[in-house]
Amino acid sequence: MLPLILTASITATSFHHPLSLEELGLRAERVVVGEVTSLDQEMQDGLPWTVVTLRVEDSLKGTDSPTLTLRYPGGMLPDGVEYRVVGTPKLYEGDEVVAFVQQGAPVALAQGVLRIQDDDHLWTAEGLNFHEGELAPFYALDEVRTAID
Amino acid sequence: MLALMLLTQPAQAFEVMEKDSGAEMRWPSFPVNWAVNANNDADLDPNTAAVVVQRAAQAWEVEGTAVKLSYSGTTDAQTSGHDGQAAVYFVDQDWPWDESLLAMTSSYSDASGAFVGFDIAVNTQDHDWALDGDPERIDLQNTLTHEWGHVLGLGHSEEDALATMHASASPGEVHKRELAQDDVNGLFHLYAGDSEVPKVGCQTVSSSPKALAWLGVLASILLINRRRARA
Repeated sequence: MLPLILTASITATSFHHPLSLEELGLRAERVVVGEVTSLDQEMQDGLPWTVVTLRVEDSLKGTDSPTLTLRYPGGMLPDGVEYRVVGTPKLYEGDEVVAFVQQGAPVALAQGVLRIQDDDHLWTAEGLNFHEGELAPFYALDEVRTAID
Repeated sequence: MLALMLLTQPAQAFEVMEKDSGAEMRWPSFPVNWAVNANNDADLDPNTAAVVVQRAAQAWEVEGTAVKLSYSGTTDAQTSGHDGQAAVYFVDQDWPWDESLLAMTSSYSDASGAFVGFDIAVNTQDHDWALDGDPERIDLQNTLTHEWGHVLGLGHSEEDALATMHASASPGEVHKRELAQDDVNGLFHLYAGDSEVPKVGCQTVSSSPKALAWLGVLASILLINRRRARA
């Protein structure tokens, strides 16, 4: 059975025009298949940013490298307050993803991070749960490859 | 089948924002005070834009809840920060996120899920905005009504394309200015305990934009079923 990838195109970001696979591919400098190996954070202009390291398993577009780092806003402030930007990906160590990357960030935030699924329990990269998944478009990995060729 | 879909709203499509612990995120008390920096290079009259932002907020002040989003005047804020000043502001240049985004809501919350602050940034760098429902441009009130839903703790309603909290919008769209039943359901879930949820009126289906949206939903389902059949 081919692995399925749930796009975040409907759910991923805060009120935007959903991007197609082709658009994601065109806007990305790099597209990789990889596993989340670490989640860290760093401060920028007084706010925390999440730094995600992927172990690259396959490079679909751009220069190949063994790892890739993604950055997006959000994280914990020193006083314990969480800063969250609606629509950023919600990733965990061990997640298998396809990442569309532009200038070190996911294209269109969570839209550009597609979690690879192999069952019917569907989650978007934003962290929303779709038990039914009826309206969530999903793609096979081969469709992603075709779209960005 | 089609007629049934046109007449039937999803039972529950709303999503609430949650902490990693699973705690739902909500404001512990009201009013929530906020200010606006409506200065922009997008030919939006600042005074009118400020009024539109207030109208968008007021859409969520539904009777039966304690929700009160109180406009406190203008501010010079141009960035988000954990600074005790909740602000709505316009970004004319150096939009820090992807150009496809219309607006971004930042939230600040404690470990229990209680909100302690927020900001809304509007992308006037990459999109043409309108205050009057211009069919060629993005309607500010339509967009901001959606963003205020995030401020209150609602996520995206994926299964209800008619909801204010549905994720995407197109130029000229204005139906998100008014809450759909699903939005009110979500609002009451967060802020009205066991109170009975009022029914939202004007859910006409014939030749309305919402009915057309349902046709889009139907098309999506058919497309997905085709994809599944291919898989």
